[in-house]
Amino acid sequence: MSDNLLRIGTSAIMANSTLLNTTSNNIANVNTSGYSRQRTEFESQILGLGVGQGTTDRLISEFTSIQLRRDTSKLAFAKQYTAEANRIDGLFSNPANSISTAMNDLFQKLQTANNDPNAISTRQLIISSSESLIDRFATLSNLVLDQATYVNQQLDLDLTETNSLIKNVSELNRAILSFGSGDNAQPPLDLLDRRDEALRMLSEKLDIKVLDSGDGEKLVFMSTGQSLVVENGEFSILSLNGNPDPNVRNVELSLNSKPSVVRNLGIEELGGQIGGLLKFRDDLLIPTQMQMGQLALAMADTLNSQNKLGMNGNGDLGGNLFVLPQTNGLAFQSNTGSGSIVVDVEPGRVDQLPPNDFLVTFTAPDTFTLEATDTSGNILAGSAISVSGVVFPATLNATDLGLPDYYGLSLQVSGPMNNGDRFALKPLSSAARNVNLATTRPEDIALASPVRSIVASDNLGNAKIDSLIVTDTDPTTSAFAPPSSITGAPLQVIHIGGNQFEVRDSSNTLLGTTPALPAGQLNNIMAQAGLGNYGFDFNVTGIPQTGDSFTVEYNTGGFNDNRNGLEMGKLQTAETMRRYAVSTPNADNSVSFNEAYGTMVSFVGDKTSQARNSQAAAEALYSQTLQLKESLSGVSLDEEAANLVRFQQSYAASAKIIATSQIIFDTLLQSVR
Amino acid sequence: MRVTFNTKFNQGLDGILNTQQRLLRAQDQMIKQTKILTPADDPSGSAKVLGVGQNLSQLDQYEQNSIAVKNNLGVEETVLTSVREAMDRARVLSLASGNGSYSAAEREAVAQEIEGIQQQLLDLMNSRNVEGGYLFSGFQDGVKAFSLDPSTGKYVFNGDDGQKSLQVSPGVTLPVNDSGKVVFDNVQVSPVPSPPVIALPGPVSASVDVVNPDIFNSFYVNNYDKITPANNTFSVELTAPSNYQITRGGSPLVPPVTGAYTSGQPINFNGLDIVINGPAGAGQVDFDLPAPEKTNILNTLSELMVALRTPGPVDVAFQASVSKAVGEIDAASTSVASARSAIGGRINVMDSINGSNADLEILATQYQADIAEVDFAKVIAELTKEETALQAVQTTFSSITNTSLFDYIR
Repeated sequence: MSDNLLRIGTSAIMANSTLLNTTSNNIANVNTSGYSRQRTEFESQILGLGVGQGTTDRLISEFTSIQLRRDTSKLAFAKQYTAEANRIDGLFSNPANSISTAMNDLFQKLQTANNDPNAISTRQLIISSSESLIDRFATLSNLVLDQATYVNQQLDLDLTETNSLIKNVSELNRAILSFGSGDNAQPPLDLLDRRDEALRMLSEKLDIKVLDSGDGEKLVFMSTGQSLVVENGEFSILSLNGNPDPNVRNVELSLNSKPSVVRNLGIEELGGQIGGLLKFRDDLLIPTQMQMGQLALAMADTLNSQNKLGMNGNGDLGGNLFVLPQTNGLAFQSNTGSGSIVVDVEPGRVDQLPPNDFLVTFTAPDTFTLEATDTSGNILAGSAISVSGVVFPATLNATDLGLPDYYGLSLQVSGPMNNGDRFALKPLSSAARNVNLATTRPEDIALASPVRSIVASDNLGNAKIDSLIVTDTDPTTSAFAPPSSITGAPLQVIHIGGNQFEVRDSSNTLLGTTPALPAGQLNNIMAQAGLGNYGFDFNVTGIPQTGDSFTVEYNTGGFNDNRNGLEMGKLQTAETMRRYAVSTPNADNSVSFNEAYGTMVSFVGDKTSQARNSQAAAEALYSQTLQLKESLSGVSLDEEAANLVRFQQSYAASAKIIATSQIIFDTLLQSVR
Repeated sequence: MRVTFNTKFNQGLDGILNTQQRLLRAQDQMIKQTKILTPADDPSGSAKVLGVGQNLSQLDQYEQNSIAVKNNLGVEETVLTSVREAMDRARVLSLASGNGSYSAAEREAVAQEIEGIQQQLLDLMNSRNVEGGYLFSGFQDGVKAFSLDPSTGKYVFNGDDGQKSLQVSPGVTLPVNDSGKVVFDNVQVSPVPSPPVIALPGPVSASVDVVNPDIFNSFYVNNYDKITPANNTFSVELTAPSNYQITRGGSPLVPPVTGAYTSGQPINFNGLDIVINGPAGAGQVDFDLPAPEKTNILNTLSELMVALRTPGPVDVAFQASVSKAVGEIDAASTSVASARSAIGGRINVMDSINGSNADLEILATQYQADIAEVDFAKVIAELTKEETALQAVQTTFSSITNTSLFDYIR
């Protein structure tokens, strides 16, 4: 009988001791991350002989864990995206960095120089303002490039961490397996906790799905189904690849046991921190780089073109003010031919350059298609232009091919190429930091116009020449001959009566005659006389008498002239940039410099603002789920304190049982003696 | 819901951090004085601010330009006023010298004063602008506008027709100078037909004089033919029995001009008096229309001086020279006057544009302020609110996290 009492007392003491242990364990681990509070439960022994075996279990909800992992992924994605986006957003917030301010300043200096085209000092200001503008472009572009580099580095780090987490989960799986399962085996609670924590940290990196296998292992899959951790501890590694652009890296999956089997992953499939990084890169970073590049190239080329239509401070036809960079086409690794492509902007055609990258695909050794791509590398429908019959080496652009639109590009292609060879053309990504000044001499700015008109002093009528505009000074397509003359000048324009004009050159050879023009509309005299390719044209206003003549000649010595400078000033608000690669004929596909910059800034602001909102939403969800998990699995010190008191008292009571059993036994012994 | 140890701390901490963030943001807005700290705060507003910024920069530049316009036009107007005064003095002198009672010494005195006026005019016509170039040389402002050509003894214009314009509003450019050719070198020399030539024998002598310059001038402007020089030769043919017919370039005029011929009687033809002496019936007298020629006041004054200094009594030729000079001085004065009124017109346009630019600038600044600038009252209220909230959260944090059962059990 006391034997039973002893037995009961012993089991009670053991049980209470276990309970105290569990409570102490909970208190000790209150700050362990991923720890779920444990509870020991007892069954009573059969035949009323005390407390039976106890089982200690974690208090967790598998459903809450799944929810928490999902919300962790979403939050990590939003946080990473927002952190990076905030950095780019911050770049555009500082007016000291603002390209718009620098552009406005350049045009202001241009206007000031227009007021006094002779002065060197005002021209020097234009040069220094251009330098400052290019500097800003370079600074911004370098900062954006730094971020691109950072993305790549961070990607590397994240993937290393991810791989070690995957390995960790797999090892934990094996360790847990070795403990065996079954009714008698005590599950290794701390290993289970550690595995759950590893899975949660993995879910921060990317979206995962977790399935239980029958033997206690947890199998991990990506949210789209590719396996990461499989049975028997086999796992897959994610690694990077940059094809064709080594700076724009992709993520791929490879089997640990068969590293040659790879599968590319798209960003939509990834989620988590890695997905956030890649989405930031493709959604925000690359478009910003491209728009900046387009703006820099557009400014440089339009100013170049206008400068070439003028006469500079030395009396010569103007040249280039800026040097536009060349880029090499990036060959895909699967190419079999040995050809290469070099990309330029065709001078004067930058208004056809869209803010896109391009893909060249060879369908035959001498035929290729040029298509515009979006930031993820997908081809834009309707943007393909095919060229066939290419003889290498070839320079192909809109003028050579006779096409109205070749996206403003000039390709230098050298062979040989094979069917299926592909090249990625990225003229914009580094353009903003590689535009340079072609000259720092203030005389090279062409503020004057290269032609002037003179009304003959013996004219009897009151007619004058108006709107003398220069459209082309290229010696191969116009009458201008560098450095400073016009072929056949000075030209005589003679009114022969009936509103008809003759154009004669300096040796009085008749060059062309206009038809009888309607009175009051004596316009475009050169074109009407069949001399439209001379590169300039003008109207006659007023009423000319028969025999009145006008001279058109090169503007030698005309340095107090700012007509070309005024045209340059108009570029500030002219619509000179292309918005979309593919659009309909009636669409408004052109924007001005400031509009383009404004679009870029509001694009960045918009994406960042959306990201911040997403982050706020994700944080709210996450904290709610976390609270849910905590409320079930978290340790409450107050509760454990109460439990300590409780189990102490029950321990004391159980100890009393043993003491009572001892007294009984003693009493029995006493009574028998 | 069970509140655990971690929950208490996490919640409190989150509260403090979030409140601090909002406080810092309000402070930032106040320091930078803008609602839009980064483009993400207002994406479309940021773009609008950029657009308005460009607008304001342009308006600022137009203001600078209009100051330059005013300066340049002011200089030109001053010069032209002095020119006009000198021309008026010259006109008075010319008219006075037509007085037949002037002796040679008096005519010499007038000539000397006219020479002084001529030099003054030459100086004014070669004035320089504020940047140091010649005001009236057109585009070639390094070249002197008017100079004396030693081989011909005439004053010639060396510049070109160019006008420099400045932009004062997006669509309006105003010229800030005028070419000396248009202002000064635009005086049409009063045409005088060439001395008549007896082409076919018959008449003994002939003379052609201009009696009505206005009528002859307009006939001349409308009928001088630069293409076919032969059309500028007019012939008076004496036909039997005693008529004359005027032909042009060999062909009769349409409608034909004929009449009765009387020797010694002037034939009136478009402001000309043609006097032919000789028997009727046969003969032909030719005269040509002179080539159009423009001159300037300097040459007019030179010719006047030559006429004044020619010795001999005052005769018809001298009177003709004087009236030619007066006519040309009048034409020159008119030309200068119209240049001045053009300047006045430009200044009026510019003032009006300036007014509207100033208004636009105010509107643009206001628009920018509406989008981007911070309302101080609002921000200070926000700052105070967050400060109070922060204090409250910090206090409750300590009170919540300090309570623990362990403090109370032995």
